[in-house]
Amino acid sequence: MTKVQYLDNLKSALASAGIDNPSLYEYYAEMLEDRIEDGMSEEEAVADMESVEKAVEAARLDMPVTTLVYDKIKDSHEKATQKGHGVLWIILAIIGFPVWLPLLASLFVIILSMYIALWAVIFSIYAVELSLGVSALGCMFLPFIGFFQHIPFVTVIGSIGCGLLLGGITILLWKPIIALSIAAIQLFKIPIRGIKKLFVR
Amino acid sequence: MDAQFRRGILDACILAVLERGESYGYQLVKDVNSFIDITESTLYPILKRLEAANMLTVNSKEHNGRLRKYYQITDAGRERITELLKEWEEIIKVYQYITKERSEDND
Repeated sequence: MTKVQYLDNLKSALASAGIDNPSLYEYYAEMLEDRIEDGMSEEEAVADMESVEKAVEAARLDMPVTTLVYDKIKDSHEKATQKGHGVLWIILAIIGFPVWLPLLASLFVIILSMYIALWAVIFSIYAVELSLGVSALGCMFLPFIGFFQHIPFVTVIGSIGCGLLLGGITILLWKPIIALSIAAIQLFKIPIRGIKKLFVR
Repeated sequence: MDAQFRRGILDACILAVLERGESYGYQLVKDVNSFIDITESTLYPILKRLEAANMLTVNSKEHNGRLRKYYQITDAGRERITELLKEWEEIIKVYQYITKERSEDND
């Protein structure tokens, strides 16, 4: 296969997969050019590259789950139509409606609940941080009002001390909280990627 | 190797290669391939992710009559390498503890 054939195949495969990403195409074209410049012949360079199918499969994993599910259904219908079973496919889809709809609905509910759980975790983490910060400010500044209300001096100093302590904890926790949020998002991506693979292959 | 674990290692490898100096896609694949397997399709999302996280910057430069993208590490990227090395120190400690425990159990 020549360089032009490989790139043409890639372009049409990306277009038929619904991937509109010129930078991805340029990336593969650049990889191919660099191989040739490195001393490989066009054929050797193409053979050394990943197959167009693998390149498209990897790119599709970055697409939303809904698009992948829709494409899978559309692809299945097109294949059945090409074999002359288009009507049978529709009949089976209608008959199988009580089975596939709850399955599909439960899949979306699972993803949605995971998404809600993820943001609930992140929100609660930041809520803890915010409450610590507000408490610190409260403890540090409210006693100054107390000066005018004859609050004992020891209580005022104690309150400022607590405020400084809470403020310190708030600052110390800031970086771990960001790291924890990133880790939670990364963790969320693992099952989502697994689900996506079901619809890409 | 676990996919998430592998992704973290690849991030570190790419940033470490870029710490030596700017590089381009194919050179990165060749450099990283000398110690861990990586393909074009694996590298692309990693570069995009690192760019989105401001750990590297991209510049297109003319090279032999065409444009080639060059990747440069940023300060955030260098910080990430430091963080990853610290994490690795902890992993090595856990590894040493587990292997020690296992060898003691076997004895």
